[in-house]
Amino acid sequence: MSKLQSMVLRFPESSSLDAVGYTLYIEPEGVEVTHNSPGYDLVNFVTVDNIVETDLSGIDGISTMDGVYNIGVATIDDAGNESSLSTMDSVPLDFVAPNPPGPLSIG
Amino acid sequence: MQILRVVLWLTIFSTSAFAWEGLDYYMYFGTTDEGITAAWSPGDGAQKYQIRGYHKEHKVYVDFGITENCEYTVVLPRSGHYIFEVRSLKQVGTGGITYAMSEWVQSIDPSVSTVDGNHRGWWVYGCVAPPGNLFF
Repeated sequence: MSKLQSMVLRFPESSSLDAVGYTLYIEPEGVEVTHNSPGYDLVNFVTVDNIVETDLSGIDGISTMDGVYNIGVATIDDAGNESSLSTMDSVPLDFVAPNPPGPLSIG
Repeated sequence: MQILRVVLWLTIFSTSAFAWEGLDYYMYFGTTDEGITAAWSPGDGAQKYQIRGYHKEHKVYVDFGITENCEYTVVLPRSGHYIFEVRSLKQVGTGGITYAMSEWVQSIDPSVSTVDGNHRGWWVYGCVAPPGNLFF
């Protein structure tokens, strides 16, 4: 069982009073991230001093990525509407653990 | 705070009526963290103006406030489609809190509303505000 390094994404929370959550969209570098990109609901985020924090290594589907990506985050309100995206380009993600060392021996 | 300026031309004591559903409305877009300023022409005898919005999806009126000016900046409380409405107030008697009120005039009524100086009804759609800049 490998152990992944945490990578905490942070952003100021939406000022909308009816905001209830966020969705992360992700594309490989060079591809524009949009609302049609593969999306992941941020279900395990915490908000500290109006800053939202979420550990990307804990998101199924992202925790196997290894490469450079463009990411975007949208606010979701209680009606299911999504905001425009706050984006960040060229984010290196590496959640693929190296192979373990070979068999141990005592010589 | 960003200001999105829209103009509602107010006809005090208007009695006009329209089959609004069949008309071509203009849609202003803003977000729930922006200030949206509606303006109107003075009504004869008006001392104050009351502004409210009708939230179409929730079918509720939102009281925006009262002003002595002919414009008012609103921050929409939630996402959705809004019709703006304004009416004139004139104090009557000496009690200080009793007002005679005009009818409400609505932003979707092209007889009292303008877009770029032309008579046309309008709505405002408030989009949910995005989060701030991302960082690690």
